[in-house]
Amino acid sequence: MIPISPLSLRFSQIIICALLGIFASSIFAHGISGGDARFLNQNEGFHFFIYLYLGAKHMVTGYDHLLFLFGVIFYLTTLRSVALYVSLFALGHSITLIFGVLTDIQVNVYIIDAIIGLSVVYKAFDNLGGFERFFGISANNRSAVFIFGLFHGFGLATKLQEMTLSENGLLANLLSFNLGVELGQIMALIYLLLLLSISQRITDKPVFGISVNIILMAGGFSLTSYQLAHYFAA
Amino acid sequence: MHKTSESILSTGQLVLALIAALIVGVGLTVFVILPTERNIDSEGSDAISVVEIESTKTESVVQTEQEAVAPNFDALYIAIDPETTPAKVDEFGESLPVVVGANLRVHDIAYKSETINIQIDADAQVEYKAIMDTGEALLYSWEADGELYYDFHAHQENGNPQFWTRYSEGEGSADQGSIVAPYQGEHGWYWLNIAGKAVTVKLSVAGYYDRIKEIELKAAAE
Repeated sequence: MIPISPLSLRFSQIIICALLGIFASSIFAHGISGGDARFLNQNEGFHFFIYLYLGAKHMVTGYDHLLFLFGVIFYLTTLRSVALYVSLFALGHSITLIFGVLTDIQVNVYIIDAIIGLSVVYKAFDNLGGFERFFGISANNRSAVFIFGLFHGFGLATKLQEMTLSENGLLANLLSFNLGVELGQIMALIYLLLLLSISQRITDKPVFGISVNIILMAGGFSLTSYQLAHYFAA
Repeated sequence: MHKTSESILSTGQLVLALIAALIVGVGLTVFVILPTERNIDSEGSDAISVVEIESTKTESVVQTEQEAVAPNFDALYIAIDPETTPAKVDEFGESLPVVVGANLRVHDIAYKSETINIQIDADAQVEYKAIMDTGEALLYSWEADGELYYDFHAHQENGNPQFWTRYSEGEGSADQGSIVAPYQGEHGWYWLNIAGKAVTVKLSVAGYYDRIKEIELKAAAE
């Protein structure tokens, strides 16, 4: 985990308070909700800040993306490796987000969200050393994070596709949304890293990491079963 | 790079952790999240309570049908007072609609409209009916150049001849309105000319019905 100096801790706290303020009204929202959706449906052309905001909001309030990200960075020890894995994740989801929307690939939103839930299970189980124990070798973490990034991107794409997006300025809007997603991811990362740093101060016993990852795995199963329930109900 | 816990957990412990997480995760969804979501849907807002009124009414209709009691005519539509119904606003302060599904009917068959002029001799009688399926809607208006007795009623097409229903009856030279068919059958007008002279009725209908037909009446009115 990342050692954070008291100075940077205070700085992070200020940033987080600000972010929580911005997103407090919609912290439990997921996807693109009523007012945003209607705005997208009614407005043609290029709207940089709107799409930037929507992308960031989606990432910060999208607990499935956050849980996966949390699992990915849980046992990383240097900021450099955090940057590497997060970049791989960002590259993966950017590819499918942009190509999914541009080529209008229709994927069932519940199935994609169920797979995203499973990505959380995968990462938590991997953190527990499960793959190493059962298969002798740990899966290639870099490609796994990249591939699950692709699925997360499809999830983001389906959320955008639920809206009638105008062809006018589509690519520019899409890139703004994507940029917003990355900004939101950085905001969320600050929060998650701070959380990990605080927890490290409280305890460095291995049982803590094991407990957290079992809870994370349960969260992933919960997300998956929730999406599957909606898939079969629809 | 990783300081994973693989050295700590045995295979058995890993399987146990996996199963525990599966049970807790799925259990959380099935017993907490999904029931909560259902409660939010059915009790969450004023807009939904309108739908509840509708569903209670529908239930009462079903019930009365089963008990063969007079149907609840209020169930055909609901009225809302905009002065007392709270407006709904989303997180951005934009207004949201209050959903009134009870007042909407979507019809599969083609929209039709026609106007028929019907000659009725003095003291003679005629009957015109629209063939309609359950739930289909009809707008009508008729006007005559003389006084008529009318009986606006319905039969099943090939059902029990003893069973029939009435929308309204009276004496006059005009009437207008709309109906939603309560069952599949013939829905329309019996007219008896009481003007003492030949009368022409101009009948206009529009809506969702199969066709208009003239019913052959066997004998003259008593």
